[in-house]
Amino acid sequence: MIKTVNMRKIYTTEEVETTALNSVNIEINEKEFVAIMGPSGCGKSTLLNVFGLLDNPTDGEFHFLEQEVSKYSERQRANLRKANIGFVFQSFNLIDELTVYENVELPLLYLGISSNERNKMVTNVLERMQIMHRKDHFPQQLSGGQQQRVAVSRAVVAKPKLILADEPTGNLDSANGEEVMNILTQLNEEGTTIVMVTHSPHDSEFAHRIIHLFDGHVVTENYKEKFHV
Amino acid sequence: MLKNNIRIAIRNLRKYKAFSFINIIGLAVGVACVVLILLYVLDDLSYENFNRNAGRIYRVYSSARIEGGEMKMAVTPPPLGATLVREFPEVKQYTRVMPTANMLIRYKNNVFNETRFFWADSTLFDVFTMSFIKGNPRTALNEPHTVILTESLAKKYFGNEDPIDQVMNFEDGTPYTVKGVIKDCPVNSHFHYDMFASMASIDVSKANFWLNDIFYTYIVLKKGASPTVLEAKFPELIKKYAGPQLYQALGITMDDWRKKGYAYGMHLQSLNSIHLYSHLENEMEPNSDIKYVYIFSVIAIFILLIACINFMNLATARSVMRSKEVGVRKVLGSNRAQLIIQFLLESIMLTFFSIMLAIVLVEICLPYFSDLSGKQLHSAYFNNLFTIPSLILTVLIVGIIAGSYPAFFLSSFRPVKVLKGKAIAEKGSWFRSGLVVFQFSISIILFIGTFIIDNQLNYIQKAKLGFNKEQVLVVKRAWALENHAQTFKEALLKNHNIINASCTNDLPGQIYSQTLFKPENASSSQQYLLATMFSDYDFIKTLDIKLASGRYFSKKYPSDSLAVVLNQKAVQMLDIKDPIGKRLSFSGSNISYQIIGIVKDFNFESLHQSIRPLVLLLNRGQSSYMPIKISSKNISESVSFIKNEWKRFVPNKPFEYFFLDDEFSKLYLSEQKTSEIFTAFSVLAIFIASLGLFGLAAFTAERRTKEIGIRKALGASISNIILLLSKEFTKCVLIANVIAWPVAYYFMNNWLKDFAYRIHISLWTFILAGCLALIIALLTVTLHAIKAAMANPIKSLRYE
Ligand SMILES: Nc1ncnc2c1ncn2[C@@H]1O[C@H](COP(=O)(O)OP(=O)(O)O)[C@@H](O)[C@H]1O
Ligand SMILES: [Mg+2]
Repeated sequence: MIKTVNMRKIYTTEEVETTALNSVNIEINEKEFVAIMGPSGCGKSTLLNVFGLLDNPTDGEFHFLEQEVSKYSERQRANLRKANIGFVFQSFNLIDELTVYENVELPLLYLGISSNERNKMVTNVLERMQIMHRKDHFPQQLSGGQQQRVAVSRAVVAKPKLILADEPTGNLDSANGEEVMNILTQLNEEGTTIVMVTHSPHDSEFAHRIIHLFDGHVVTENYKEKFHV
Repeated sequence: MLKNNIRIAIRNLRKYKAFSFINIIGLAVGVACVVLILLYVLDDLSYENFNRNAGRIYRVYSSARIEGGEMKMAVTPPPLGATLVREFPEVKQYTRVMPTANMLIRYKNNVFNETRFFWADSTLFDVFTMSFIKGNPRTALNEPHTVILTESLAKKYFGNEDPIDQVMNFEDGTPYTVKGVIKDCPVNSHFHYDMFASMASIDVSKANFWLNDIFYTYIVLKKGASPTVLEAKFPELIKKYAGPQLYQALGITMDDWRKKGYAYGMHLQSLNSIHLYSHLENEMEPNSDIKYVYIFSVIAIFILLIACINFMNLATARSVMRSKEVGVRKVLGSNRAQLIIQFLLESIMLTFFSIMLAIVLVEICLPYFSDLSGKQLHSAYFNNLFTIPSLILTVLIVGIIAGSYPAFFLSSFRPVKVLKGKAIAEKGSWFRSGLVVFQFSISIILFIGTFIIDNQLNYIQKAKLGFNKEQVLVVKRAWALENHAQTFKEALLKNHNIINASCTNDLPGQIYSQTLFKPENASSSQQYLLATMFSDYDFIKTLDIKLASGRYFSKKYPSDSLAVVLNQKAVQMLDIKDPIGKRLSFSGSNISYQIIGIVKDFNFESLHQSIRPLVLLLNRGQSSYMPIKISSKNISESVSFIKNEWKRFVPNKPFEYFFLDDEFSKLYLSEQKTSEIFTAFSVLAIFIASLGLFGLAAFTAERRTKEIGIRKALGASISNIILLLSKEFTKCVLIANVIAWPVAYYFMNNWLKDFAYRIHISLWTFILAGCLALIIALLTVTLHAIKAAMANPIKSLRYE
């Protein structure tokens, strides 16, 4: 599903050039659950942004769904993204002006799905995430755990092939974090590919494989026996 | 999708109440100003539109260039109109009118003084559109001693009786028969009438004078006829008709006279242009000026711009807070166009609310604005088919203009950066500062304009005129006293509060006539145009006009009826050495007048004019005015004393008077009004600009909360922080001054050129305006700065 060849990402600001990713060669297959770990500033979020088609690599190849997309325009990436990828952020990134229901509905609106269909899909996912009773609340009125459940609902409502989660439990207590991890595991078992950035060794236990990054390099990859290629 | 957009838009407006409030109020005030000014301008542009033939009606005016200058008069010789119709087939019809300022009219036991009285040819209704309620326009003014009245006037005289064929008596006792009733005079006409009497009643209408300009002549051209072609034929016509009379008077042929550089001519001006473009001598009423239409339109556009800029600035500043929303939407697949639509929709909705509020504001302000502008303005939104569509169009246009920059700015955010929490607002900040500079430049220009206009008006009102206009009560229609004028005057002077009194035909500030004079020994073609004033012995004493040399008229010298007094300007122009004892004569007359004295120059016209050469003559007949100098003590008693004496002398004639200084300030009425409107709109402009600044400062303070927290934790004092936050805006206002000063100087210098007597533009005016803007800006900004500076740093630091 994802394949990078000698991929690099360099940030140039006025003063300095930062090499955030350096000759990264990673392959992620469908239905995998991958955790990315590493110290702060080693390039985890950068990698996730490239995977999520939010940013282009500076050079090297990046294949997504068998397409070489590293030179895609913003518009092409947006189209590919909205149909295939869901995001879960550490800080939830819900829109404060929208209700729970509307936040979850948003990706469907951009996909141009009919109102009837949308209603069914949103209700479905909200029920599944046990947050249906809060559908008319605004994000600020919810606890952190509830907000993350809404964010996950939004990420999965359009049934994406790939979910990218950047420290999804970082702002949650352990009980709520556990719950989010269970949801992600369940989604993975249903066939969704998941790439998750985490600092927590405990969370990484849920993944099939852990990629360790250090200073923009892939250091090690540990496979667990749970998943065999 | 759209429903979702609208829902979010409404929620956003509700959530950011302060933001929405500032924008809606600012824009509403802006739009209300524009609507008011638009009503004002449209009203000015609608003059004469009620005339069916308005496009083909022209007024003929005359011009003369002789020694002493050139002048253009709205009046023309008596035979001109009829001659034009006879000589030129393209002239379809003509009519002449002549006002008489005060006409005393009696019906049964009632006597009224009619001030809007005109003599008019029977063809009046072929030229102007006046609807008859009773009577026949074809015949109403055919016979001598007939009149037509407006509806209201007929009601005043006859109540519910039928006015037709009723007889009313003019002051000299002549009976006039009412032959028609017409609708009341429309407001938007360059002259206002209540009553017309037939031209056939007065002899001068039949006079064959070609060198005396007496009547206002209007003509209607046939369809398709060109006024310029017609005008080109006038010089020949003048030569043909006025030439012989010129030769008789001066002994010189028209051609020779013209060769000397003199000129006498007739010209056309379209009826539609009179109200805004005509500023001739002897206008029936003071006209407005296209200049003010332009000035006010520009102000309106500026105010709207200021309000739109507020919107742009606030929305962009707020983008910091909305950047997350933009980022998330983009991550979820929204494209730029969808975001732009979202933001435009919000701005259009804001505009919609603003315009609704603006309509309410206009309704509330209209009576006051009508008062201020001296116009009768009506909004009458729903009388007009175009109102609703044009309102919708305005909402869209203003909404899109105001919303476009924020929409494009916000939608261009890169989602990755935004979600990282990077501040993106810096990018737009120079643009925002530029807009603030622009707003304040305009405000400062308006301030400077207001100050200079105000100073100039003050200056001309307080200027030394060379005579004393204070505590001078002027009795109008002094001729009503007939031959009791002298005894009336003596009776008044018995009261110790009455200092002086004079009988005169002319007064400073009133229309006067000009006559051609010829100094003794000069060649017959050497003619000088001099203003004339006819008055009695006590004139200069009453008005406190100073003698420069010689003496004024005196009863001791019976020969003074053949004497003249000149002002210093006249001596200069006539170029007479040792003028006392020299002689002058009216052109074309053999009677010569001896110069007995010279008065110091005094301003007998508005200060738009420099002082013209003047001849004072002794008035022997009845007089129009009786100026009475009264003591500054017991003014009201003096007035009632004069009134009672008048009642005693002429019990059934109305007593009418004015104070000379009041009448003199009326000369500056149009400037006065402009000044008031100008002041009102500059205050509004700065109000809207400050409102925007207020919002902007709020956002800046909020955006920098964390920075302020850190600085305070590191030991910055409150005043350090206030300085930090105010610096940016102070810079803007200072730059605005640099832009505003030269622009304001240029425009105000031009405006002042209309005055022969004017103030020097002082640097202090500019400094004052600049400081005022700065103070207002600082006050607005500091409020937020103080709030931000006082906040506990722990709070803001924990925030991230
Ligand atoms: N937009 C950017 N501009 C410049 N440098 C950046 C930008 N984003 C990230 N970096 C730099 O790239 C490196 C990797 O950052 P990031 O991927 O956010 O690390 P992590 O998520 O692993 O903490 C860091 O050194 C960071 O400073
Ligand atoms: Mg990170």
